[in-house]
Amino acid sequence: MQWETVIGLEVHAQLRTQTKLFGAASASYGGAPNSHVDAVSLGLPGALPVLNREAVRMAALAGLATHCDVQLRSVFARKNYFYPDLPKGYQISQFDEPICLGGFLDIESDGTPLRVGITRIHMEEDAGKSSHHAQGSWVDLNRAGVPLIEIVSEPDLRTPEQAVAYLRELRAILVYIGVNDGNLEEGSFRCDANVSVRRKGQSALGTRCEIKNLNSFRGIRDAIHYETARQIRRIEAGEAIVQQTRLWDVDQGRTAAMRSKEEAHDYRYFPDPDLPPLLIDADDLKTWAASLPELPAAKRARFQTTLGLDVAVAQHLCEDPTTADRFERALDEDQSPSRARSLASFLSGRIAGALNKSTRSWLDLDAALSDLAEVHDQWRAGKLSNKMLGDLLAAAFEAEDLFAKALAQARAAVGLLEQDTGELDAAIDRILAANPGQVAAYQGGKPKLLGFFVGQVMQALGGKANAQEVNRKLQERLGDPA
Amino acid sequence: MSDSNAITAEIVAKAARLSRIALSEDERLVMAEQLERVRAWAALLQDVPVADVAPMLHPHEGAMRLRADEDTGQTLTVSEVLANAPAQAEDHFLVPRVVG
Amino acid sequence: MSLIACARAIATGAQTATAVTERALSRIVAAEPHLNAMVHVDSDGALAQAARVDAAMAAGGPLGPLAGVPLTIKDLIAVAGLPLTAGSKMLAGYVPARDASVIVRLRDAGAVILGKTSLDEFAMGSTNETAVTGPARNPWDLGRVPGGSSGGSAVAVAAGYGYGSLGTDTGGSVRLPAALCGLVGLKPTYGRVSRSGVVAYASSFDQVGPMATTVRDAARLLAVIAGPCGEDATSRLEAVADYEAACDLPARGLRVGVVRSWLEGLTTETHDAVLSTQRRLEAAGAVTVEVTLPHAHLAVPAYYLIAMSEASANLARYDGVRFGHRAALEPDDDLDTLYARSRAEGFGAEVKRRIIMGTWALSSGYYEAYYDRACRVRRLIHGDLEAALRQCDVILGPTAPSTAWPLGSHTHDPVAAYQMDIYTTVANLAGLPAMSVPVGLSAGGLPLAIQLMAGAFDEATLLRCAASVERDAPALPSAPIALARALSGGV
Repeated sequence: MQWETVIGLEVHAQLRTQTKLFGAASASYGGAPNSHVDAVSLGLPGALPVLNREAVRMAALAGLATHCDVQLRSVFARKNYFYPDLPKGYQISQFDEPICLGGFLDIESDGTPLRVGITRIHMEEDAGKSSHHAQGSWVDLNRAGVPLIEIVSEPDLRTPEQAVAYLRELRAILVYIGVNDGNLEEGSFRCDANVSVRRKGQSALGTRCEIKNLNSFRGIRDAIHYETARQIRRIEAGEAIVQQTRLWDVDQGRTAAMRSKEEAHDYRYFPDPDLPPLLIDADDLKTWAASLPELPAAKRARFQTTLGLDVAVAQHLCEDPTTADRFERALDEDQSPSRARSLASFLSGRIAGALNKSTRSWLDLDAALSDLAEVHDQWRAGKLSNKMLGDLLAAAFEAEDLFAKALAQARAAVGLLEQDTGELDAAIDRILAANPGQVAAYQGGKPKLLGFFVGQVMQALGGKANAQEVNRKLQERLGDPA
Repeated sequence: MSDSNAITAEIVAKAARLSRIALSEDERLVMAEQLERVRAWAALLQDVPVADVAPMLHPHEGAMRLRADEDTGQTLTVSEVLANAPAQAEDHFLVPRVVG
Repeated sequence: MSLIACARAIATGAQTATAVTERALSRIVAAEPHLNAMVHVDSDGALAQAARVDAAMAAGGPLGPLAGVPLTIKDLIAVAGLPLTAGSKMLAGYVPARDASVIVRLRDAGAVILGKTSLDEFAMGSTNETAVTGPARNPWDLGRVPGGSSGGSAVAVAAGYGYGSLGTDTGGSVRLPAALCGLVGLKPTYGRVSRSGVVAYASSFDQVGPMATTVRDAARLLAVIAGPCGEDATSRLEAVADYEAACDLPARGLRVGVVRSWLEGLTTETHDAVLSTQRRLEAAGAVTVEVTLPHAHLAVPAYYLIAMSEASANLARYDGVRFGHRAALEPDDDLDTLYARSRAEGFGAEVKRRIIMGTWALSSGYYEAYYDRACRVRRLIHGDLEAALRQCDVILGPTAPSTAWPLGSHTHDPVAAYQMDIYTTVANLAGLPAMSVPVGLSAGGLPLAIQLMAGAFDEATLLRCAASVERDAPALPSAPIALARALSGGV
């Protein structure tokens, strides 16, 4: 029997505002318990919500970047339930009139393009945090009232890999447009997955389960895999799927039903009387649309077509805007495909490797990007040998000075190859004379031996020779192999 | 609307559970009787044709006031936050253990 | 002495703020045993503020429009450092750290705050009888209700505890007690006055309004508290007119709407009070226009369904977690027990009724037939008023069906109690300004009143008409007779 998985995703993304959605306390992550709390987020008697203008702009931007219709009129409602981390006894959330409707996201999974529908994006406030201890549960309201957007996809995804591709793309977009920091561990980008299975060819959807507590891309993939298998197993065993919320347990690698409440929730949504409709000015919307930066898909395409980068390299560079931006700043004016490809691998290979081994971060390197590009160009032109480059980078990364200064010092110390033709010719003479057998073999039809001669000459010169020049001269002296 | 909507003790019990208000059985019965009287009186509204009338949720048309995304010094100190708390533990509000 | 006269006496140096405040405080000490209108008296704070005004006066500094004038505040409005109980056991011991926006404005105007007045619990009542501290007594007849929910404020002003008070009006809670206690009470246009720092009952109706002995006093208080506020998303930017100047304009040329159906179901005296007010306005040059409000008979049930629904959410924050009453728990009691017992113990019967009914009206299966339908009827009523106010400038009618009724009249019949709001709730449903103006005493010595309503943000016209009504109506005795008798040792 052939089965098909149907997946819809609900992403909660924290907007990068300074202050909360309806109150003026800090919206930043962390902080001492209950230190980011104002009267509104504490739900004090008489405290009233006043909507953060910047959160509106960011939510609209998210809609514009995902091809949604941004609604000029939207409405906040109260979702009523009791929980200790919900100070007012209701959550303010957009319900039947959200800020964005009907968008889509184009993704690629296993080389196949897929358009995933976005049902809606709405704004809402986050709840606080409960932690559980022996003598009871502790409530910290720092997160209470932090602005979120919830992005709801259509059930257009069929595999865990597609789901992850969708999430990576959505996350990249939100980070690109500056509305979300993309941090899964801190929960500023969270995902719930609605998963159901059906027999291939069947058009009706199966009963779905909502999976929560997914806080890594890997977890999302594993959880959907697990849940798919669980549902198929049940159906094949003749059991029904119960619509329920299930939690992903990372350690056990399984989903488990949340303890069901005695009675179904009745959230009694109704329009919040403290908040008249949110009206967006059409001119503001135009300004925001014009302010959208180049989005990841467009940047990837440009990196591939005009810079000639491989798909994987373009994908890697474009995953977050700072990496792409660093690359483009280093690239600067000479954007020939050969240089771009070389520089991309130089940065993501040599430089990323050196960074990994050092205590420095990319941020330290930002002031020296054009210098690094120059080092790359000199190395590429043969003015720095591999060994010289290795020495230079090791010195620059290990030094305690600011990177730009350390790099300048390392460059001065290592210097550039001054080609002394006499010395090179003398070395070649010596090596060829010392290895008559190999010379004969080369000329007898073993062109691969060229590498041997290059190595010998380089060694004789202590690594300080332009490998391209050595190559050229040796070929000249040895003549074509037969 | 017919009596099928009548407020019974069971309906009061359900609404009281949603409202998190403990009621004794006697209180439920008394309240059901009182609320049913209010409901029957409010049933006056059921005869009005309103299908073409949009619900009025706010007294005035127009947009709400928004605020700038600025720290205006409204953040409370931790001791202010906890000043009226019935129970607390290490700068947190304390409640009976919730199974997470 | 009126509030305006008091402010003038202080500003001209004829009296010190301290002397005025001391007099008000001693009045409270003498009359409170009979009236039970105050839930907290802040003598020290009041005298300190009076001393500041006197010092400013001595230094020749500029004085605000309420400098040194003692006022009381309904205990639904936060005053920093004073208890805020909302008339409920739920908030016993709760002390807010910040002033409500209206209090900030009063302080900026130099007012002296004497203390907090009694109210129906969470403003849910029309008689002041649901207050956890017991009912305040009507100074005109100590066996009768003062009206509610701002009953304590009405009693305080009528008894001379200062010169004015701030109440709140959700369905008539300023106007009804003003009418029953012989005062002027004004509910501003929704959005005219900030709700920030005011304990919410029904957010789409609640407005803070002034209560005072004269129309001009109310105008001055309104001018101080009105205006946009960044802490209330429903607060509006419309310009605040010169309300005191409006009181000087004659009624000549005003078109006064009269709703014939509103003259049915009134006691004879109340009926006559409305008609004679109409005649006096005509004599002053106003023109009577007959208007109809075809859906007004639906106002009270629509109002209650919406108010209870909003209240069910507004009062969810009183859960015993962050502030307010928490039930004593056994070690094994769970979270839901904490909620349910704390709320059962903290809220009184009427509050529980309204929360539970509001929860029901919003719940699945009932939302469309009750809450949503009530909101649609609200629009019909709003439409009625808009149409009527195209034909006239103000609408004249009764504030209450009768004069003050005896304590305990409607304790067991919520519907009968709710019907007392029959003439006041339309203004809240439509968000329009309305006020109650005293028009003499009944044969039994109880205050009679009429109600005026005007278009949105047209408080100036409302005050202009009210001032004319006040000028031509029979004057009330300077102090309630029953209270005077009680204070002199009689019954």
